[in-house]
Amino acid sequence: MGNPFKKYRIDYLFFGCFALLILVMLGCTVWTSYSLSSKELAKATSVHQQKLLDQLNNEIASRLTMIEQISLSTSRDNKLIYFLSKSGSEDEFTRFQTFKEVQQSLANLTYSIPLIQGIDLYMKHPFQADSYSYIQFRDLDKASEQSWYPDMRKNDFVWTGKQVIKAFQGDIAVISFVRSIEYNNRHLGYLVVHAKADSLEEMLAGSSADANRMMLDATGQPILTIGKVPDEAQWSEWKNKLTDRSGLFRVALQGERGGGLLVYSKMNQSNWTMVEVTPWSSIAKGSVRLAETIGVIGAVSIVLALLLALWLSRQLTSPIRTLVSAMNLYTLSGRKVDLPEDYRNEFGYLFAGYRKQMDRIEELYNSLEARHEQLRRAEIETLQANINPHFLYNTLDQLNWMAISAGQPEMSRILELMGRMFRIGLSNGESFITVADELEHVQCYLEIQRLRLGNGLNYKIEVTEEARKLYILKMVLQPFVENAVIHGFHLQSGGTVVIRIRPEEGFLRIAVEDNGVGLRSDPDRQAKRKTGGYGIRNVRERIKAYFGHPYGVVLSNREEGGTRVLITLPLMRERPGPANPN
Amino acid sequence: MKVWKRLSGISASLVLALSLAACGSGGGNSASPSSDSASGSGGAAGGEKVKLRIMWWGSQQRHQATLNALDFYTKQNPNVTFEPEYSGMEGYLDKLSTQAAANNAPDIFQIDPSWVADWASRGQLADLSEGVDLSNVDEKLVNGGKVDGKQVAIPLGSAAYGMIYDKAAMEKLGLQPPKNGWTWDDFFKLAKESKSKLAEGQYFTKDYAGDYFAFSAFHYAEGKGLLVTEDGKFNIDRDTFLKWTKQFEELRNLGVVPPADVNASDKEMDPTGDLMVKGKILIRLSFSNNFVSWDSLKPGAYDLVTMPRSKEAGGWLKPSLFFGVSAHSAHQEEAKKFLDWFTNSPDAVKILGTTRGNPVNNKVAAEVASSFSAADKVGMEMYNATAVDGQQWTAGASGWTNWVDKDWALIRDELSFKKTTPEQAYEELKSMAQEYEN
Repeated sequence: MGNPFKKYRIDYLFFGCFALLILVMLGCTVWTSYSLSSKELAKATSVHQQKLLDQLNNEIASRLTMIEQISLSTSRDNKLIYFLSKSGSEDEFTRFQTFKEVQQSLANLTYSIPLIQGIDLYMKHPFQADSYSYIQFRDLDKASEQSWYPDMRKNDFVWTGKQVIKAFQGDIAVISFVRSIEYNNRHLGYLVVHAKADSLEEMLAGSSADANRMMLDATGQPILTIGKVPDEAQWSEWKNKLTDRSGLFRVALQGERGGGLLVYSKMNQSNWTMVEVTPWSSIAKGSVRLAETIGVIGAVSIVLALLLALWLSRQLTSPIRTLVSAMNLYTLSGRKVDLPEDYRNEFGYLFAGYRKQMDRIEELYNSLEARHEQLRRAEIETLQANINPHFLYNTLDQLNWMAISAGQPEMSRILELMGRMFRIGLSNGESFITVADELEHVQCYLEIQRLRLGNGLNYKIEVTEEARKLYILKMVLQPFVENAVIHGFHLQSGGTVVIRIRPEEGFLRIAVEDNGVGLRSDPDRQAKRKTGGYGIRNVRERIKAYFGHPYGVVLSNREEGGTRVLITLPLMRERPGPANPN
Repeated sequence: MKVWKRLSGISASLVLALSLAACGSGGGNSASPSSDSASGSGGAAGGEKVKLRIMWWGSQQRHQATLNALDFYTKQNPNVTFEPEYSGMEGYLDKLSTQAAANNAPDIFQIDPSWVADWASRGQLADLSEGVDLSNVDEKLVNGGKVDGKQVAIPLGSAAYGMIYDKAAMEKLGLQPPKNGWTWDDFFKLAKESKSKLAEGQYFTKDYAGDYFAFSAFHYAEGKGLLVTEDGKFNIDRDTFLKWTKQFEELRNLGVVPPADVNASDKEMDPTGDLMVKGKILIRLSFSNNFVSWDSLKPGAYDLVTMPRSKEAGGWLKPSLFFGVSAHSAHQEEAKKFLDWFTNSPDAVKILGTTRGNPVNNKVAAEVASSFSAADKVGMEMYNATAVDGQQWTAGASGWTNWVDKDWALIRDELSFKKTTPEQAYEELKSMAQEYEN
């Protein structure tokens, strides 16, 4: 795989890293906010529901208690007891009047308490009322057909589950409170008070329209339900989890992935238990909304941040690309690519560095080109120079033969010496020759001058055998010797030239002394004399060109008269390679 | 490079478009509540959402016709819905009184003509002088709903008081069915004549000895006028009362009227409690508009006949019922609008038929008469026969409701159960009446 930071483009990397970072952060934020807030919401919801259920429980229980109390006081009502206990044993008129009074007082209960739909009185020898009347008198023998009858054999009173009774408005759902009427240990009948189920359901629903609530009786059986409630099998399973105190637990719900929360309320003073089942999805609705909102904000910020990343990475990489393209476009042809001048930061340094380097390269290139030109010209010159000496050498040889045949031995000797000088001077074009060759060259010259001047010219060469093998720049000595002979002895008929050559501490030191007139003090010619003529200047320049400081030539007057030339050269045991391989 | 530039350009424009879209939808959101409120105010122009509680008593026919009318009204006026409460006559007044005592009376409730004055004097009825058009209603009916010059109740119909008889049973028994214009003598003669023909447990009519309305009709026919004068004085003619109760005493002893317990078990127009429907009696008192209800229980079996007369006509025309609006109602304007529709709209009259008596709006009644059922027409026929020389109905003096409803009921039972004599009964009524006289 390799290091991606070495593989991919920087702007891609920038972009990708940004995107990854934001995605990870967004994911964490969304998940954290969802899980935290849904937990908090569930907690808040359950507390809230608990309170609400307690409140509902109180409210409904108090209503039902009221009905129980009404039932109790009615069952103890003297008139009613009298009506039931004397039933059939007294005259019809009184009984009918009592019946009407009882009917009236029962009816008044239903008129004044809207929760009561109607009242049934089970008794012996009942009077018949309107079939749909609120108050019905029924035969005690029919009580055994009622659903509550089995329970009433064990209890004095009981609440029935939801049932339907007939009324003018059609079938009405009610829950009923049945109380046995006893007097002097005699069972007289049953008083059944019907409470409107829809009113109670409305109370159970409270202000929340879509709640799933159940009201359980003391045995845990649902009496009233609203919304979606568990079926019987389901409920019998959950029922066992209820404790004596209010509480809550998670339950699995059909069709609900997250299950639901079951909250229930049991009050000390109440026989009733309120149960509310809330699907988890509706509890977490708020957190989902939150998560969605954060997600949307996150998505927008991702886009914005990615654009920013894109822009940033392009801002950062564009100078690099500019530089790279500048490098690619660079040609020796010299068309310069302009780099931006306004960067003051690292890119500025980079551009400046590159620009400087380009300038240097150009400089070097230019100098190289100049060198090439020089070299070419030098080669041509050398070639030309190689032609001239050969021609001169051959001519000298011919002149020598002419001098011999003309009987001029002295001229022949001069020509022969000149020939040797030429040969050494040519040296196959080498710039460096051995000290021995150089000395031979100078000796030839001195011989010629002796022939010209006679024996007045003396010379002495002091050199070790070892020094003779050393290499030296060619034709270094001749100009100084010539200078000594021509200028030093100019006014005298003879003189002595001493040449000393010795290696010393890595230097080759050469001294050329004469006992001539010395350096002229004449102001007009001083400059010329000091620097020497063409030959001396040539030597100086060559030494400077080949070696530079601290090598060079120093001319001075000797105390005893004459001139002293001190030449300092590097000690070279081998012929140095060509200075420039080209 | 170029691709990137283009991509970034595209994405930038995308972001811009998205944010614009977000702004747009945001704008839409902020706009929608305002449009909601606009439609809400538009609804308010047609009336805000109102739920009217309305209560009446009556038979199944009346319940069904009224419910249909309410549905129709809600369809035309979707902002108005109803919470109907309805029952039989029994306990109605108690229930209404109890609710009124709790300041919880329905917005609109049906009242009997004789209660109008009482309820108005107790300040329970809203002033309906404005908002309900009664220009096409017979002035007598309109006046029945006026107290101290204020219209406090809207007449719903007018009915004639007469009798209904089991035509089929009479024919089977070989009895001559009564004819319009028959007399009280004819009535008692027919009763005695039936004695030999009645089967076991079968009777000619109810024990009307202590029946306030039956005796009123007799009292009228004898030319003695109202039982209580309009200025609130006891006005029962002793001889007339004794003549009446003694006739019934005779019938009772003959076994032509049912014994007390059977008589007490009668529940008028109750499918299982009505003695005539059960085939136990042949004839009973009835308002012309109630014929439809009996006819529906045993179609084609019954017919109507005018109230027997003597010196004068026995029957009378009266506003059958009124609607009042609770003085504590929060929706009086909507209630008035509904009552105006209930009274004057041909739709309402067609739906309601004669379930509350002949329609009060004469003009509309004439227009839709053809759409009435045959049973409606039987009722209207008796109504017209009574109208010829019927007694002048009045609302009666105010404050006597309990005397009529409770005290007479006690006398009725005492007579029926033979606990008292006609003479004692008269004295009792007279002494009880002193409580109400002003």
